[in-house]
Amino acid sequence: MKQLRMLYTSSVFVNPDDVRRMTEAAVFIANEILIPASVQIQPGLSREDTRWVATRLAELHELGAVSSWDVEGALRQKVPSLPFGGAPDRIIDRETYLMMNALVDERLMEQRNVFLGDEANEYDGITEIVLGRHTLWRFAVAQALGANRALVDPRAQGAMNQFFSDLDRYQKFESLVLRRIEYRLGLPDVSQLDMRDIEVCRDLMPSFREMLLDAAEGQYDELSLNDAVERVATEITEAFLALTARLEIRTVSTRGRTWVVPASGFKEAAWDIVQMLFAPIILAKYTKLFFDWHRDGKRLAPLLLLLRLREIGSRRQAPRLPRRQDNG
Amino acid sequence: MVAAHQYIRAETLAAAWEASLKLFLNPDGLNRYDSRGEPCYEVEDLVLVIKHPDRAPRISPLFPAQFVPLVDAFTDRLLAPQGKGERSVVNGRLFRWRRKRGAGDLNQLETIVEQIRTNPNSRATIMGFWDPEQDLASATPVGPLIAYFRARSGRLNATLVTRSIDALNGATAILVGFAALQSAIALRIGLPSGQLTVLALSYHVHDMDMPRVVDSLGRG
Repeated sequence: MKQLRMLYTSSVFVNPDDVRRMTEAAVFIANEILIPASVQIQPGLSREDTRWVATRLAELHELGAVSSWDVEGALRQKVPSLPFGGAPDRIIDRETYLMMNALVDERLMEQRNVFLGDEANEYDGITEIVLGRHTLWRFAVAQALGANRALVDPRAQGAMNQFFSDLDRYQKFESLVLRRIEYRLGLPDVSQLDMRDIEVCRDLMPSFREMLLDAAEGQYDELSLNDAVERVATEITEAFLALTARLEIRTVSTRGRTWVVPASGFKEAAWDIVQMLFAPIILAKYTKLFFDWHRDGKRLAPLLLLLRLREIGSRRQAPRLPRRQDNG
Repeated sequence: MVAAHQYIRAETLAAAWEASLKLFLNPDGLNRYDSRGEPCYEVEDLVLVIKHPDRAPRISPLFPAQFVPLVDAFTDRLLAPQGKGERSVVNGRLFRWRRKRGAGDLNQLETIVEQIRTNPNSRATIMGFWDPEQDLASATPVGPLIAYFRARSGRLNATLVTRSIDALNGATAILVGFAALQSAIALRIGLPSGQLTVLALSYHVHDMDMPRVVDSLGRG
């Protein structure tokens, strides 16, 4: 199955919102998120937020969901940086760096008018070129690190807005689809899941991602973006609801707790799946075997991530940060 | 008080630029900050004093050769009184500052040349580029804020205050462009160019360029 590696194009500092976005990407779509080794936790956060950002980043790193990168020999400040510290996980060697830089400048000058923009507002030619370099640099780094999506910090998104490619597709399209699915299905805030749940979700993620990318293929349309997001989100949501209806799964509340249970008369497939939902260790170890073996496996596999998240949401009252608004 | 690492004095534009890059070789004393969301290292309130801004070399051999046309283009746009169809903000504000109540455009360059001619000791011959009505809400507000030209000791000295400069990619264009403007005014009033002082409120190198700074200085 295709690997999806995301380049986190960040500002200097990471804050809880950034880490929430990383966790969401780690649960739904990304095998690995690459962050610059030079990023620091935003100063001025509350002690609780600082601890949460540090712990969550270290946990995501331990899971292999987040890795750090740097350029060989880069000068860095001697200040505490990422909580997992140490040497960067990936290094762009100096020769490659210089080649990338030369290529960026060459492309920039070749396409100068694109960056100055025929329809642009007034310009003086320096700022626009600097912004163009930043954009091209992201593409170059992504290529050097084998990343196929960018997880763009909103503060840095301006320079990328005029260029759409697979690299920035996540921010402009797929993340909006996810946001809508999360809202419609009442999924929990994934950034608040504990590591064991995230690990289980990541085992289920590749087939969900494949479905998402298939559904999104060829759908992006700048002019009717909302319609495209709605179309893809609806397709996935309806498939999920059809699955739960077919499996006759329902939630019941008793003694102050909520459980996902199979309804009476459930089918054999439902039993298999529900068993797995309640046995995360088995699920983590034997997911692939199950899907290969089960007659409905290939069809059901993509939606199990959502089912699992639904179950997690009903099982635990995860501490929640303010929920993001659904833009649809 | 200006700290030592924020003050550079050099004979030529090229030497001042090279010295400014050396500030970034020790990033520990520098600010970490975002320039439009891009991580960078910053020197705040850097003062560059260039004794002979009209002397060669203006452009350092360490400056990326492929960007020299951008420097030339910036200077051309700064100096040429462009027509209404042109889109350079700085040029527009220099030659056609919009006045209120339909009083017509103000040509700041002509006005200042005339004032220096009639009162060489004036302390008000200042060009303004920053327009709060527009720049406070702009995604790309102008870099140069004010430029002050005055005749002192038989020379035309100049001071430029600029908001933000990308040290590696943008500084050379700003330095060369405003030194050329200084020379053009000096020629109009019949004086030689004096020193050029540049105060950069934010002088920065983006993370992506830090290894390149080391590499450039290593070659030099």
